[in-house]
Amino acid sequence: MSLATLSPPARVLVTKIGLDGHDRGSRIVAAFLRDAGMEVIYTPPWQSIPAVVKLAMEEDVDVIGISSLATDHLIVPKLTDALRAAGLGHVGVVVGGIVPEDERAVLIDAGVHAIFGPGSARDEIIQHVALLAAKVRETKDAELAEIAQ
Amino acid sequence: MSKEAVQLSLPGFEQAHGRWRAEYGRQIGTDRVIRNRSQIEIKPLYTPRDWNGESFLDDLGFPGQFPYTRGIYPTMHRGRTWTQRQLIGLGTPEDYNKRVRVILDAGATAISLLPCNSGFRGVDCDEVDPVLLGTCGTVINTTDHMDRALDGVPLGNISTAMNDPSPFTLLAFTLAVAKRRGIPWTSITGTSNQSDYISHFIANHMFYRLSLAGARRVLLDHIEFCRKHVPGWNPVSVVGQHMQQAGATPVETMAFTLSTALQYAQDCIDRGMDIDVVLRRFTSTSRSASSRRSPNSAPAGASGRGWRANGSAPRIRARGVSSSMARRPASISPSSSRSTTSRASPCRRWPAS
Repeated sequence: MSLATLSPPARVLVTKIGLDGHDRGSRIVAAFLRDAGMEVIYTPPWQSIPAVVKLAMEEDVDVIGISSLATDHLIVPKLTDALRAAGLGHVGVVVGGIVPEDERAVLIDAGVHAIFGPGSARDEIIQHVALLAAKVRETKDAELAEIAQ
Repeated sequence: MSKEAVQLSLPGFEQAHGRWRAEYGRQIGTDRVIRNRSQIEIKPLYTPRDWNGESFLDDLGFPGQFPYTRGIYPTMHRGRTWTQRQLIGLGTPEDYNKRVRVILDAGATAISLLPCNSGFRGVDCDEVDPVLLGTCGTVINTTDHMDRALDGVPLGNISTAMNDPSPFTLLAFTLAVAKRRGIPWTSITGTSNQSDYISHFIANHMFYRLSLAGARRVLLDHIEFCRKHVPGWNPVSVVGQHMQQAGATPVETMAFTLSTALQYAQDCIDRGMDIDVVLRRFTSTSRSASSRRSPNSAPAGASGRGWRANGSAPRIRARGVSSSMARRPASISPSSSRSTTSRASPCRRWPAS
């Protein structure tokens, strides 16, 4: 399957929320999404949920990638709630890192589109994010068209 | 030691060696140069013939003697086995205590303590989402918490390691607990495992919390306090591991680790501390280099050499500290989001501004 190419390119926010500072994963993912032609907004770790929502709005992102290696995934449902409350429910959210098997369902129920655990292939992540971004862009465009009418 | 080459009598050596050479050459070839991670060329095989006996004392020597290649103690692990110390940090002080007792019953000879990430970050617990508290370390905010965490733990007979980038408050809590229990501070032993702020600054920024100047002052206060009041405590552990994990070669790791140790030592001298006393309480952490070293170079063993050499003061030379290094301002705030407006760079790297 070929990569969905968007114009302008998919905008992806790669960040970490919570208390953990292990950022090797988010740096690597940010770099290869950029190399795949996406526009990546990268932040250091330790972002607050309001800060991520603000950034997502200001940067008009299509997808948010949350890296969680030490239990910070537990507050991802609060992020998706906050995104919806801010009118950003259409933004796709994916999580990468360590999410215990029995805690995955909570994230998926909260609206997380995919969880990439250890062993996830680079191309698998790129493809998923690209397709998700294309889908989000369609929703955005439809909404804009509706407003314009 | 004789300067003449050792004449080894090895019947059958030439024949066996020749056979190996031929077999090796057939399978791998003889023209392939092998270099280790430090780009030092190594032979595919070393035998007693590679050593002429000249440099035994300089290169190898005896256990407990310079250059410490064979260990820093005369008896090494026949005299005393290594410390069995598992990393522990979870939940409440009660949860921690339960776990510590389990591992002590199972034969642990020392304990460690990892504080909650809120402590790592220097964030008040009230500011943290409660669901995260205690998930990556034990929540310890008061002396009472520490007292409960160490309930039934024979402080004074067992060493503790504080795995916190600024372990000063954890040690303070521990000493307060010792005071309550009537245990003299002179019997408290252990290590401030992550007090090497320079390693955090250059290779592990998730531990970098104070400014360089501030971290330097606090660390020196810590060393000085321990020297005076807690002589069995190791206030510094110079960490090469962070650099290794950030991509440094063994040579780079040892070079920067040693220069860091020299910097701390010089700072202690400048404060008027007796370096022969202070250096004996410097420790080091390096990992994984040993598995990659060549037979003839020993980067991991090297950290046991040199700067720990009997605390001999002449080895510690004065090094100027550049003012730019000492005055760099704090660059981390716990919840700042950076560069929310600029779109110049497709991938922003931290620090961005």
